[in-house]
Amino acid sequence: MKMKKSKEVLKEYTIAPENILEVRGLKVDIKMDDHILNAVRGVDFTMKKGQTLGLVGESGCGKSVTSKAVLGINPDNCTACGEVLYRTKSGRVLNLVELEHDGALYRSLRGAEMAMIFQEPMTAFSPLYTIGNQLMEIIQLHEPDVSKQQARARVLEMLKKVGIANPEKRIDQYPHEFSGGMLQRALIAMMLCCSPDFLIADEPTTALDVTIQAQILELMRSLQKEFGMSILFITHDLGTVANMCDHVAVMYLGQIVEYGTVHQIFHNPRHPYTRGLLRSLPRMDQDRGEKLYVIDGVVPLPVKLPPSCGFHERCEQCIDGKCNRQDIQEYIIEPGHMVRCVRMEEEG
Amino acid sequence: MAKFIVKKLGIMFLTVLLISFAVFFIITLPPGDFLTNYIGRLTAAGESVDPVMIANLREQYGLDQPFVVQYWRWITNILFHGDFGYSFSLAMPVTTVIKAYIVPTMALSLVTMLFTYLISIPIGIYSAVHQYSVGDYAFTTIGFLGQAVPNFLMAILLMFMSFKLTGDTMLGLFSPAMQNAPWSWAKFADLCKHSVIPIIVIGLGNTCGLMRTMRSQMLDELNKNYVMTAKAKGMKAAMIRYKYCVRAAVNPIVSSIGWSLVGIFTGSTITAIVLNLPSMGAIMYNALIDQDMYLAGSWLFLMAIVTVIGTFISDVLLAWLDPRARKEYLKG
Repeated sequence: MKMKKSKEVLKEYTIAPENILEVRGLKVDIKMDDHILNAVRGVDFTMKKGQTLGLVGESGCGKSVTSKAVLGINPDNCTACGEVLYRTKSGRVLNLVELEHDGALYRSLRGAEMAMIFQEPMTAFSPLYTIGNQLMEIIQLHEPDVSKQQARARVLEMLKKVGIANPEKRIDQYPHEFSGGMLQRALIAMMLCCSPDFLIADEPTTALDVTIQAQILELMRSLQKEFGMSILFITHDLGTVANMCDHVAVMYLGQIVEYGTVHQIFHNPRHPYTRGLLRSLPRMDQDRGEKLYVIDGVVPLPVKLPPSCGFHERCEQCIDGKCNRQDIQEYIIEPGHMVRCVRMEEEG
Repeated sequence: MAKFIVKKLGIMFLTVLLISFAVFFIITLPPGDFLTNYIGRLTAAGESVDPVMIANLREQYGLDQPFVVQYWRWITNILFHGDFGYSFSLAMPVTTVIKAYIVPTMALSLVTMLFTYLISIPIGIYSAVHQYSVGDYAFTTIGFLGQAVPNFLMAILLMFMSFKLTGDTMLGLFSPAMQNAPWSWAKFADLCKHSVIPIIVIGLGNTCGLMRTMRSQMLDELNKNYVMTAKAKGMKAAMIRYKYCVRAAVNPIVSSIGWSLVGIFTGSTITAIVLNLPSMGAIMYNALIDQDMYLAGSWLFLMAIVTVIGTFISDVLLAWLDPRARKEYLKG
């Protein structure tokens, strides 16, 4: 992409005052050697200030690509279109899709206002620089007036806040001297250094062992309370969603197939895919030795998909001639609860 | 870091001593010595040999002494007097031979290496960052050609072109007029002029290889997760590349400095013959055949020193570049 002129006037957008982010019709295509993947095929969602939205789905359904499209950090072979309307700290509403990824405006938002923590903390840091160097960098990038000593003091304070013992010693250590859980804490500390309004957490606990998972989630909850930020929480673990989120969007094959509050999704799941996901959770009242439910098959590759429901091949309630013939519209079954399934037509 | 370097230097010194012993041992392994060879050739030519003269020579050069004594004399002379012994076949001190042949070869090799790195690393980075661009394809093509064309062919080609363009084939390291002139700016300029073709010819294969290595390393690094993190921090893509990716990508190139140095030093024999450079290859070959042990031994010894120095440079640079290697070294 060519650098856009900084003087270019960006279009004016408005979003509801309580929202920090509105995504409308977001599509992301990934150009491969001999084909194009339609990784995200028209996604809409909104995020309210201070709330947490869970983005749930299997591997390969487009969760990560969606979130990275919001942040503008997808690789160069990805192209996004649609609207990602974001309210900056200064109150301006920007359509992030229009911004140059490596341009000054987008970069001034990333890390300062919107941040992201990643799935594998072990590879998220460069092995060649100290933790302190990499954490101080984010402050120095966005607040050039801050001196090195001040930045260091702030980093120390953040490290303490995320529960890293002995930060004065840890700050000068290298990533390979940290454990996975400690690195995830350091990563969270880094991304919160400039107190962002909006945080994307891309499966932040997947690569960690279970006891550490609980600690990290607890840490995120308390930091959210303290900083008042909105979190887009990506996971395939529904248990985590129930703990962390206010709203849930279930994604399948680049579309949101069901959207609602945590209560709606967990107590009244309507899409067969959501139901399948919930049924495949282990339960306390389950008999010993009873096998867990499994949704057969895998997510198909989103290449040249015919008009159909993306889930029809794996759906136990597929209606031949309908589900595999036409694109499925969204049905609002009660306020705030959307389902993308033809069966809603009959059920109303 | 200073402690690490001092320790390394100590180990280096010991290694070099051990190698010198091994070298001397191997050189003296074949039965007989230079003089038996010499007598053999003289008698074969039908000349008579005076046994008294031979005995005198043997005593003069210490060839009648046991191996350990010979080694001790050789190594102490090198260490304390910088005297590498006497070349029987060339009838001059080895030090003179070294000055005349090895020093220019080494200087040429070092300059070639410097050029190799200065050219291949930036091109490799460019190719990786602009993967599949016209520039990348062009450099890839040149890279494969450069690796595939034999050095001596390239030498002949460049000499021909130079002759066509300037009327001078640029043979040797100096023009005939400058060969024996004392050092001056004119002589230095002459040397530079004559170094262009050898540097291209000797360095081309290695440059192209390194270019490919740098490109693939850089591509690896660009796709690593930490690049995504740095982007999420709001860092400029170019800054991410230079602060994080390049430093990680040069790692394998840096760790191979040791043996590329030797490779360039020894691998250029044919090229040197074609370009009529003061090459060590032929002299070394004859020295081994003639059992000219001080010359052969000193040459091998110097090669070993070059290898050890190269490895030392690799180690220090690696420790400086990569904290994990540093930790490993400091521990071990």
